[in-house]
Amino acid sequence: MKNRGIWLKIFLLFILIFNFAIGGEININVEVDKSDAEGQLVNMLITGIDNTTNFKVFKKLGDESQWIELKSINKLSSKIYIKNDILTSLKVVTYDDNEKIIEEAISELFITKAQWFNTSRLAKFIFLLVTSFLILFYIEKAKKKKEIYLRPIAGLKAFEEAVGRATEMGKSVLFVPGIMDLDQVETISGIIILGYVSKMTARYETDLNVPVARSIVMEAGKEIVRESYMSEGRPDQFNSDMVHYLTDDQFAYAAGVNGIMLREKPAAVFMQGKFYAESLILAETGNSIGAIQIAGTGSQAQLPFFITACDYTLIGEEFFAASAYLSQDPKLLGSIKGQDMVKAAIMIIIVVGVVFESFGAEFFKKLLG
Amino acid sequence: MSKFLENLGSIDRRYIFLIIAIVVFLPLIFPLGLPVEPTNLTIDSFNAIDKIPKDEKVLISFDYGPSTKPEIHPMAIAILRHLFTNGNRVIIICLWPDGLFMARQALQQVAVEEFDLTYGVDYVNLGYRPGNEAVIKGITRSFPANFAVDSRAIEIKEIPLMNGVQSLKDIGFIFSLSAGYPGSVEWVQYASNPLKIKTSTGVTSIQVNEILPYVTSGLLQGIIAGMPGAAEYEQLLVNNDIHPVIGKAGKSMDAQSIAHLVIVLFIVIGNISYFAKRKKEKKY
Amino acid sequence: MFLKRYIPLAIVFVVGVTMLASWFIPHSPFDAFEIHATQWFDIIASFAMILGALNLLKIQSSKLIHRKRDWQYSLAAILGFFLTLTFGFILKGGHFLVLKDVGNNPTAVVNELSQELQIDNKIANNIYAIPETGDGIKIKKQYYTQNKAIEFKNRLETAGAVVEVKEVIWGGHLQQNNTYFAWIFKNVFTPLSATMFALLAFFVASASYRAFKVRNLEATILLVAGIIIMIGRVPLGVFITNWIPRTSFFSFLRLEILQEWIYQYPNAAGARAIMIGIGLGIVGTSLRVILGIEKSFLGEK
Repeated sequence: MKNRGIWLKIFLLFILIFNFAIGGEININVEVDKSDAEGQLVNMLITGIDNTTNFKVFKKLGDESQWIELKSINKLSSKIYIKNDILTSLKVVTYDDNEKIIEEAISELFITKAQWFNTSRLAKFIFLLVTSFLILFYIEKAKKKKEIYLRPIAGLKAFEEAVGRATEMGKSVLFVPGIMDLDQVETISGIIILGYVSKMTARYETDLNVPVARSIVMEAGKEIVRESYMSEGRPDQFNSDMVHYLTDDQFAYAAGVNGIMLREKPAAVFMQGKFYAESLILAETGNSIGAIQIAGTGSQAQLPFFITACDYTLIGEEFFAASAYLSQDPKLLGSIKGQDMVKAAIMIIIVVGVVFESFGAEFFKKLLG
Repeated sequence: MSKFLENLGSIDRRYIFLIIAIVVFLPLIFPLGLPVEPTNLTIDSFNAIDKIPKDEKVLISFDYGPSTKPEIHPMAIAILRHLFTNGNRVIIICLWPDGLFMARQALQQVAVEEFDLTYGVDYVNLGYRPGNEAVIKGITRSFPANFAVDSRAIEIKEIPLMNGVQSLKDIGFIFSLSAGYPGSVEWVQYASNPLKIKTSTGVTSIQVNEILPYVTSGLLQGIIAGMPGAAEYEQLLVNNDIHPVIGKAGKSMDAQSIAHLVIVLFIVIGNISYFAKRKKEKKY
Repeated sequence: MFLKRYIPLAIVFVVGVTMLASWFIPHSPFDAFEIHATQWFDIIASFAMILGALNLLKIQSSKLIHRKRDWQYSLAAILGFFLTLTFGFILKGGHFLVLKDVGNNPTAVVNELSQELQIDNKIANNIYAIPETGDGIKIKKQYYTQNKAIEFKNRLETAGAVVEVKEVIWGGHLQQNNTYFAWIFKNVFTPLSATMFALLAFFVASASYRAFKVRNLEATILLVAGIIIMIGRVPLGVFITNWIPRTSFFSFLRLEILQEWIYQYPNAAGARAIMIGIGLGIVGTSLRVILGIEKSFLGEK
């Protein structure tokens, strides 16, 4: 009888300890989220407490001694962004209503790492490889003296006509290479076209005026115009002030170019580059002075204004194909052909995609990322 | 008569300018009170903003300058009114240097004078940083690294609103007030699409064409398209009892309506003249 | 030849390929390369601005000195240039006062403050009539000239306050009110920019009048669509077709619904197609430049 009483007490004590252990144990689990290519993302889960408990989450990076509070965490399950390549641990601390610490738990050490390849961009990478392959393939083909046909583009054919007109009238040619800097592909294309136009002005001894909105574009423009004049055997005709800087500001530049148009009344105006809202101001002013205007831009929103106000407009791809067209270089022509093949592939993909989507099959869309 | 019709096609452009000036000026003095009916694009933007939970912070990017102020500033005022009425907290950055002045003016009018809010708690203006899209890419990783201080030279770690905002990933909604580059396109390309953050935008009328594919493909939640869009948003604020009266954009719509009508009339006149000339050429 | 031709091409190739790779490789050091490269470009462009400014001065000065045709415009350009430079680098403005101590007669000080700042006495009292707190309280008014600031300082000191005159910090004068730079931005640059943009309204009218002719079927469709959108986008369009019930079968004939449909479907489809073409053009040109196939931007054939 005496023994049974002792065993009962031990058993009750065991139950008490067990309940205490189950009811009060807080835990913080951290799992590195491998779906984020940039790393940095972990999924945190706090167990052993509920949403009504006051708690705070802290993190410690590497060998630092201080815990830093993560103030934005207020849910038991959260995604947290952590610095890559550094051992980190998280700590959860619970508080009572008087901000007194009740208990705390620390997670295991973990480390996040960025992937070496962002798999969510795989479709785009494949597209890049296919595009590059097609362009290089057709360049090689063109090098083997295979003739490549490009449809006639009225705007490009009119280049020589425009410069010729300016020569006959004894007036200058105005070339506006857009308002953006050389980090824009359209500005580079505009500068390339400037090279061809300046060759023509050198040949015909026509004045050339190139007001620019960026200093780097000014330097690049001067260089390309100088080379053009040298290649035409007219280095004496070249004047570095042909390409000159006006201002960076969009509408101040438009005002400056308008002023040049109204005072000097050039017979031919080329607007080739990246433009924004000032496009119509420039084009209308050019129209008012009776100049022949040839515009070209990849700025889709400005195309309607140029088409309305200019005599010829190079729309989108035609603008980027201008250098190939004007030079008739087989390598450049081959690259245009390669681009066209890519466009054909895109058209097929669009049709296939529309058919699949129309029948509710989403796998094709997911495949393309 | 036919000579008159032919001559109609070659009116000196200065008369056209004069007529446009008059028809724009008169409705501003004598308003017609034409009704503004919100369209779906603006309604989508309004609803997206209305649904932002109160605990989520909103980032507004002021990417416009004085030249486009008449079109975009009314949108900024309307958006701020909407957000502050709903109790949302706003973080402002500027990718254009002029945007800082526009942001200051908008905040002075709405946050200070209308709502009497506390700077640093209800809203903060982090100011302008050079770098265009590099700034967007930078804040996708770290706000403090790109904005160590705000526009008042207060350190970002001392601003209560910025507590817990380590990067753009801690932002619930982005709104871009854009007049060009950098603007809405860059926000979609470098922030909202990669990070899947809900974004809406207000742009100039010229840009709408360029941005519309992003709206129809779901990358942007609606769009406030130019001054008509701003007027529609103001009307939505009135319809939903958020603000009692229509703003500057709404008041300018009479002038824009008449101007558009006059332009259409000029086009018709130009075509009448064109047909008269063609008839004459066929005759001879 | 080597320096002029091959080194630039090599730099273009290496940087181009690295930038492309960094978009696909999130691991360091590629992850931050894109940001750094853009910032390097901005730094170069900022320093290059000096070249542009010098070029502008050189050309305009030459026109002025040799009294070439329209030299007066060059004078305006040079004056504007140096005035803005002065306000940006030399004359800041933005003088303000810091109230260190209200002194023994706070009422008089508060009266002066409320008069100067044009605020209620009670508000001025709440903000400024508090015990000295370290660095003092900044009085919320800035002055263009130091003399004006000193004038107010003297009035406050007569009332018994301890006040210090300070100037806005270097760099801050570009962003704050009541500085010369802010004045030139608000009163010169802003109206001029808005005016240039407003010219578009007039030019749109003259361009439309001249260009929208019914020459063929496509031009007619363009014209009709343009008119629907022009009228449908503004309240006038709502007013004209308001009589068509929104819930009826013919509601699509309401101008605002019709214009929205044109905007979102045929217009967006065309815009998307052009964007794809432009995108391909950019990819093609970029590849040609990176791979050295296109060399004419270096002045090469």
